[in-house]
Amino acid sequence: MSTIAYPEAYLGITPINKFKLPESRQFSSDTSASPIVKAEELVISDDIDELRKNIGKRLFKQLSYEQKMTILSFSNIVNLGENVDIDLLYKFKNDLEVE
Amino acid sequence: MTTQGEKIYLDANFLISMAIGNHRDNASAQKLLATILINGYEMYISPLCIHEMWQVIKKYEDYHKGNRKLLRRVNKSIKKIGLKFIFEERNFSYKQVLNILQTCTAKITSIKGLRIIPVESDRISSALNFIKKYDLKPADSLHLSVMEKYSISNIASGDGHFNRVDGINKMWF
Repeated sequence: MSTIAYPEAYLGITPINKFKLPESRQFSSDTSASPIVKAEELVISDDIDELRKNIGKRLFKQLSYEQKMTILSFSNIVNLGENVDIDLLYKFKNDLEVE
Repeated sequence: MTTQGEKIYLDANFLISMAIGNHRDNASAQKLLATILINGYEMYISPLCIHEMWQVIKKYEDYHKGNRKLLRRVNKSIKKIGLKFIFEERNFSYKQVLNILQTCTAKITSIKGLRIIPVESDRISSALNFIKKYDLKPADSLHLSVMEKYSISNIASGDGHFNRVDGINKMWF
């Protein structure tokens, strides 16, 4: 009995259908992409989607890749986990100025 | 009309709206930044903007992670009648929130194309003039005097006080 999971791939009998393979095998074993890089790419792509929603398609199309990265590097630096009330923040700031 | 190479000053509230991810004005600030980049403006800030941003971030940490407003009131009342606090004071020092301030500052100051201009001593009298002329707050008048020195005629801000000022182009978010 063969211990090879997909013997047809090794024997070249049937072309590999990558969609039949488990997700962990859907890339070449010699790929240089590490899981960390893949995770980072996923985060950036989520952020880009969010940016498109926030600024609208028209502006999004006009931005170069570098400009999109500039906006993303500027955004969401601090995430305090709760919605921010700008009036409250400025009340604090005004109080400080009075002091 | 081309705006390529024109200067724009980024007010502290713009930086805060951009930097705080769940800020209610975050999306509109992103929209304005996209417009600024597409139109090729040169972006400027001063240490004053960074200072204001630090204050707001620290206060926000106090508000959400330190004592709640009601607890502070209770403590204050108890202190008035000479008793000891019954609730622990949990407001932060700037040193305690230093990590957040450092991260935020490093990211903002490393943004490509963003220039930091100094607040020079001759800005003091100019700021006083702006207070007199437009009845501005000290911080706003200092921002304005820095803009004057560096011939910056555009400002990205959500601060309505700048509406009173003539000769500058206000870009609201």
